[in-house]
Amino acid sequence: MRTYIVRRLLLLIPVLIGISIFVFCLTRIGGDPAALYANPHMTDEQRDIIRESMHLDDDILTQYFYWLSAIFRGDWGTDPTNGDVPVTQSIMEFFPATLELTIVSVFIAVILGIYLGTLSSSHKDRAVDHTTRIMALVGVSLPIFVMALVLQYVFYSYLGWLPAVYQYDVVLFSRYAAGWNTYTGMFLVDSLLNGNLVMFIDGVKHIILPSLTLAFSLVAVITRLMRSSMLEVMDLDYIKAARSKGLPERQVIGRHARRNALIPTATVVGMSFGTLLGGAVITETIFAWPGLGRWSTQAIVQLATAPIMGFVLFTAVLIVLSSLVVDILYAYLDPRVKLG
Amino acid sequence: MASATGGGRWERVRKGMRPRIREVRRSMFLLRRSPLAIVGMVLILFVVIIAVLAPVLAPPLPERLQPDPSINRMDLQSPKPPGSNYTFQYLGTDGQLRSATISYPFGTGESGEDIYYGVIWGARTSLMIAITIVGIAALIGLILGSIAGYYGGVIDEALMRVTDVFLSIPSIILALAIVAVLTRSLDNIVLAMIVAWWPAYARLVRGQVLSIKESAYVESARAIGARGWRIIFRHIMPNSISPMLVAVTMDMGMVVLAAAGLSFIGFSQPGVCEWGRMISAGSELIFSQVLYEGQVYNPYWAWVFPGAFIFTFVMGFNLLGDGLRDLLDPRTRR
Repeated sequence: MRTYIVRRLLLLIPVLIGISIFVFCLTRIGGDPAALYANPHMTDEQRDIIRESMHLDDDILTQYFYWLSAIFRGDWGTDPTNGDVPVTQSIMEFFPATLELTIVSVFIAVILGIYLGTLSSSHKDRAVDHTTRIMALVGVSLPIFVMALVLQYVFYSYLGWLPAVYQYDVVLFSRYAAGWNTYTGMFLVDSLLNGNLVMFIDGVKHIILPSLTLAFSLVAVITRLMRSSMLEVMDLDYIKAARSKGLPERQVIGRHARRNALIPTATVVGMSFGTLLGGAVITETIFAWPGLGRWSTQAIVQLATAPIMGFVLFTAVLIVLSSLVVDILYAYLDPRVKLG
Repeated sequence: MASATGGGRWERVRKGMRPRIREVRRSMFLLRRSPLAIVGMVLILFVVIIAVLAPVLAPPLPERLQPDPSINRMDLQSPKPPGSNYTFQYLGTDGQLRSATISYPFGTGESGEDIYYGVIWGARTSLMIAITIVGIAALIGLILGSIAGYYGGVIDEALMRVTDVFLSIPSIILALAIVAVLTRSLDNIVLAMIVAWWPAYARLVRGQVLSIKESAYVESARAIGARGWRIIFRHIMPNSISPMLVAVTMDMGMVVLAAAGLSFIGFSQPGVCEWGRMISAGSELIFSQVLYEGQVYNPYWAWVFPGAFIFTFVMGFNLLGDGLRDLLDPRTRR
């Protein structure tokens, strides 16, 4: 086990170096790199000082090492979309909202996906199965932003049941949230820690539509995967054995088949955190969710390169690390995985 | 004399092709029995017909012409600004948002642009970008993957490390980073998507090549003295094509989805007939109410129609891809 983890960590190094080279190249392609740090109010001398401090007149390899050491020191440039604070500070500010949305979406997707997948496989080739399969295909084919617009149109504009944008109701917040402390930055968690039930319910109402949107395509993926791995497992001998000793079908499926069919699903769920971060860019923009995704689209609109590069670097590293965790957990959960 | 040798050669090629043709016929027969794949093909055909017939279905109307000031010298047959490969939407003459009427079958957008016109020509744009992105990415992947898989060693190791990096970042974020440093245009979205997409193909082909490389027919080709390139092009590539075919079909849809996503968040050119951009423009109206001919509307048509078309397009390729996968997978085939 330990050698496996060490090997996996060593494999991480070239990937991380590659990501840093990629982002570095992008900052050099997109015009003057000093513009990342400059703002319109600066004089020419101030710009020259920046150029000098970034070693822009040295050769490219030296530049890379200076850039990399700046990244390690936490100097990722300034963020003009957020009052010129350091990019790292913006990331810390916007990340909790994204994390909260992602966790809720994965939770919804896993529950729904496993349920629908099991249902579909145990009713193979019947109406339930066909409906679920078509729904799953719709889920991967419908653009996430169209899904979001449909939900907003139906539940906000037409029915008026749920709020369409933002994390909480601003008016409600100003009325009921006196003495609010921000602990984690995740609104639902914070409202519970503050003991503020009104804001918690309001937060739940606000998270339903964006998390459903984000979960939708993942539900489709999990359902399809769960269905096929259930069908594979159901043919195995130990299932026949469980049936022949007279266990009720419910227990055969729930206890014996589903547990083993869950293993491939678990990997996909682990990997999907990354994909969800990508999908979150669009979802957060539509629902005005104050997370990393919306922050980066605002940076795109304002042509601010430093936040975009910060976003790419941060998400890439996050995804690489989470896939590391998934791999290790996977080896731990499934003893059949060959370590080596 | 020369023609006789040519004929003999042609005869040999035809004989060599015969089993392949039989195989394709058999595949077509099996495909015909898969109802979902048929639906997929019909949907794709529908979009292709719209794209081909766009000048007939939605002819540019001179009386509605009030070109965007940024788009000069519009060509009446297909209004493209100079230097662009894509058709642009006309802005309406009156800036009136209207719901569906006879002269505007899908209504108009915020500045009075004809949604029907944009949707029809958008089919052409989507097909163009899908074919370009998938075609070029698959070609790069095919060549690099074959070389890496066949020769192995340092080349293989280098390619694998590069693809590791690319595959560790979700392709939409990768593409986002690339377009962010370029200027906003559909062409740059296409370029970024090619960069983001080829590594997956390279990995797929490499895996295939590794498994085929050891097979008896490649060994015998090598034994009679065939060179590396000949073996790759004549023996390995044709036999590793089928998983590639499934991936390419699925990706035709996925690529359009991702490109629409990028243009949705603001990387596209204003005015281009592209579904993602049109949905983005329509989505800004989602909370608004408009008064038109005495009635209050929420202008859903501005995003519903392009949304429905993009869904049709992607669904078509997904259904066909699903059908092809069942068909080409030897375990489920016979």
